[in-house]
Amino acid sequence: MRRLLEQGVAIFSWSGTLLLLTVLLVLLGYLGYRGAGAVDTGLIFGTIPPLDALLLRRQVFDGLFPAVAGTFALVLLAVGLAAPVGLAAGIYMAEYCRGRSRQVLGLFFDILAGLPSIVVGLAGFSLTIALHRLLPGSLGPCLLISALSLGFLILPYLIRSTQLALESLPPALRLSAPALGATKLQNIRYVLLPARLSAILGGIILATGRAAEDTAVIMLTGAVASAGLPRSLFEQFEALPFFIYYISSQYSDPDELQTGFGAAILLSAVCAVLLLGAFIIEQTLSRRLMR
Amino acid sequence: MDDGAKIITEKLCFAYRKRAVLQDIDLALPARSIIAVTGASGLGKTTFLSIFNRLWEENGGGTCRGRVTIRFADGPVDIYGKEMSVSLLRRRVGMVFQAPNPLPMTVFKNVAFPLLLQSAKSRDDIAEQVETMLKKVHLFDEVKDRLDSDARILSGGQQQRLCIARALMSDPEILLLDEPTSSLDNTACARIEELLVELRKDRTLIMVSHYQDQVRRVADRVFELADRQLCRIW
Amino acid sequence: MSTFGRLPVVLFRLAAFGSGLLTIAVFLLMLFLGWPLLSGGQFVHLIAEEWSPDRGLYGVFPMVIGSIAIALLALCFSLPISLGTSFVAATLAPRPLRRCLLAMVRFMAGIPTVVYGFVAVFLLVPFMREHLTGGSGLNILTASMILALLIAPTMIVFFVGGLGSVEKSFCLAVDGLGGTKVQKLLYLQLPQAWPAMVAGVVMGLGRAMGDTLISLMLAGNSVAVPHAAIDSGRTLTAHIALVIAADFSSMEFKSIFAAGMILYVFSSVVVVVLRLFTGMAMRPTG
Repeated sequence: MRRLLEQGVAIFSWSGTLLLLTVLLVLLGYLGYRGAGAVDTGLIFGTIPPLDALLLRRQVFDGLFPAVAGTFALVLLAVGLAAPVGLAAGIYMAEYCRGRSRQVLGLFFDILAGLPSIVVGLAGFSLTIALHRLLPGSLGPCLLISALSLGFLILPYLIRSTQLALESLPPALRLSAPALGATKLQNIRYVLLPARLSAILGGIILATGRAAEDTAVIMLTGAVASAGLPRSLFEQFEALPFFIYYISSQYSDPDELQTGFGAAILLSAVCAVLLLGAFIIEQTLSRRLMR
Repeated sequence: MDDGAKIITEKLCFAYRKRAVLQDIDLALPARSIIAVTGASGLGKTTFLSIFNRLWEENGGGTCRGRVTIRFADGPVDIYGKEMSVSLLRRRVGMVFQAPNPLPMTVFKNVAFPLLLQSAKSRDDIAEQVETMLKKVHLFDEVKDRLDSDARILSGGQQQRLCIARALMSDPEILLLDEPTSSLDNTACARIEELLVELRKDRTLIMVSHYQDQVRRVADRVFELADRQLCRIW
Repeated sequence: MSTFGRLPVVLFRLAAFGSGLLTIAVFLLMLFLGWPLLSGGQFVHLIAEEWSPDRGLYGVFPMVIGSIAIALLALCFSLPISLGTSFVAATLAPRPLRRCLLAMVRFMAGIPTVVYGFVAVFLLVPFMREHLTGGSGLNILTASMILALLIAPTMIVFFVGGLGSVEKSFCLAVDGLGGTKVQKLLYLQLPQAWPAMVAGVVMGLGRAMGDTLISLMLAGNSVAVPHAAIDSGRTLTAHIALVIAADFSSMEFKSIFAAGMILYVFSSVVVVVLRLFTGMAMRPTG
C-alpha cells in the first residue's frame, strides 16, 4: 500500500512538472512563431533610420519607438523616485527600528506589497481626482502621476530587499567597525552598505523589472494608445505593456497584430534581461562571500 | 584605591534580561601590564571585556550598573558618564576579537580604516602610518606586495595581526583581546604572544584566554571568572 | 557633528514612516471618494446587490462572485501542478536538473502578465471557442487556466523554500537509513514544511484575486452573476479598469472605490494570515 502511494506521488510530481513545462513551451513557442517575423529594427523605428529617431530628428509613426521611449522614461522616473525612499526606509528598518514600531511598519510594508496593482493604480487615479477638486484644471492623468504610482508599487520590494540584505550580514562584521570607534552612521556608510551593495542593486533591478511589466497601474493613470514621444511630465504617454493590451482587443489589420506580437517579444526580452542581470549580480556576490 | 591603577571598577554589575553575569566587582587594574581573565565558557568573559569599550551596547539587551573609571593620559574619565562619546572611547580602548575580522576591503584600507573614520590627514601620511603599524605587528614584510588585494586572502595568523595593527591605528591606551589566538595554529599563536609582550611596554592589555599555559607565559595578573565574581589567582 | 550627524537618521525615519503612512492614506483616499455610496449603512447592499444601473442598482456582487470563482478555479488547476513541480524541484530530481528547474520557475515569474494574456487571446481563446466551450471563448474557465499558469511560480517558490528549509541533519538521517527520495519527501519534508505550504497557497490565492490583466483580457467581462465555469464573468479588478472612463460624478464611477476597498481589505487579510503561518513555521514545535 505504502509502496503504491510512493510510486503514485513520484508519477504525479513528474507529470505535473512535465505539464507545466509543456504549456510554457507551447505559449512561448507560439509567441516566437507568430512574432519572430516582426522582430527587426523596423519594429521599433518603422521606416525611419534609427539614428534619426533616437536624435529626435524625425518622428516615428509606424514603429514602437514612442511606446519604448515612454516605458523607458516611465520606469526610469519611477525607480528614480522610489529607490532613494526605499533604500532609506530599508536602512531604517534594518538598523534603527526596534520593538513595536518595527512590527507595525513591517506589517504595513507587507500589506503594501500584497496590494493588487490595480488598487495602486486606483490610488494614483484618486490622487488626480483629489487634485482636480482642490485645484481645478491643474493635473490630469499623466506621466508624473503614473511614475509616482508605479514607484509606490515597487516601494515595498525596495524596502524589503534592502532590509533583508543588511540583516543577513554576519554579526561579527557588524561589530568590527564600532569596535574601532565608528559611529553607527559611519558603520553603515563605510562597511554595511558596501558589503551588501550587490544584493541591494539586485533588488533594485528586480523592482525595475516589475515596474516595466506592470500594466494595471499605468492604464489607470495616464497611458494611452497614441501620444507620440513623451514630451513633458504632465502629458499622457505611450508604453509597451499598454500597447500590447490595446492591440489584443483593438487591432485593425494583420500588420498591427504582427507588431503586437513583436512588442510582446520585446517586453519579455527586456524583463528577461533584467532578471538575468539581477541573477548574475547575486551570483558574483555569493561567490565573493564564500571565499 | 591603588594610585598606579589604569582602570578602576566600583560595584560593577552586569545582567542580561534575567541572568546576572557580574555582581559587585571592585577592581584596580595596573597600567602597562597584561591582565588575563580565565574561566569556563558561557560565563560572560566576553561580556566582561566589552564593558570597557561599551561594545555590548551594540547588541542591545543587558544592563550595566556601577562605575568604571579609566585614567587616560590626559585625566581620569568615567566611561559611562553622560558626556562620554562612545566612538571616542572605542578609539582609545581598542579591541581584538576571537576570530580575525578583517573588513571586506583591501589590506591597506583595513589598516587605514580608523583614519578614514577620523577623516583627516593626507594620502602620504596615511601610507606612512599604515606602513609603521604593519611593521609594528611584524606583518609588513609578508604583505607589502599584497597591500591592494582583499584582506581575506591572508592566513588566519596574518589576519589576526592585521586586526591588531588596525586596532592600534588610533593609538589606544588600552587593548581588549578576546581569546586572540584560539582560532590559530601554534606558530601563529607564538608570534601573537610575542607581539602582546612587546605591546605591554606602553599599553594596558586585558585578555580573555582559555589556555592556562598561555596565561602563565604572558600575563602579569590573572583573574578567574566564576560565580559572578572575579577572583585573583596570581 | 551632532545636528548634521542626526540629519540622515531623520531622513531614514521620515522615509520609513512616510511609506507606512502612505499605505493607510491609500485606503482613506478610497474611503473618502467612495463615501457617497457607503454612507447610511449601504455597504452591505453594495456587496450583496446586483449590477443594474437602469434600475439604480450599483452592487458589485457579480464581480465579487466573479473574482472568487476565477481565483478558486485557478487555484484548483495550479495547486496540483505546483505541488508536483515543487516536489521535483526540491527533492526528486538530480541536483543539476533541480537548479535548472528553479531558474525556469524564476524566469516564468518574470514574464509580463500582459504577455501571457496576449498569447492566450490568440491561442487559447480560439481553441476554447471551437473545441470546448463554444460562444466567444472568453469565459471564466479560459481566464482561470491562464491565471493558474501565472500563480504557479509564486506557489512553487514558496513550496520549494519550505521543503528545502528542513534541517540538513534530519535529511542526512533519512538518507543514512536508506530512505528513497520519495520517502524522504513524504515522511520528513512534507510534515515539517506544511506551514510554508499553506502560506504558498494563501499567497497564490492572493495573487489570483489581485490580478487584473488576465481576467480583463480573457474572462469576457459580463456584469451578470456567473452560474457556470463557461459563463462570461467580470472580476473586481477588471471592473475598476473598465469603469474608470465613466463620468466622474456618476454612481457607477463610485462603485469602483467599493471594489478597490474590498480588494484592499482582502489582500490585507491575506498578509495577516501569511504572517500568522510564517510565525508558526518559525517556532520549533510548529
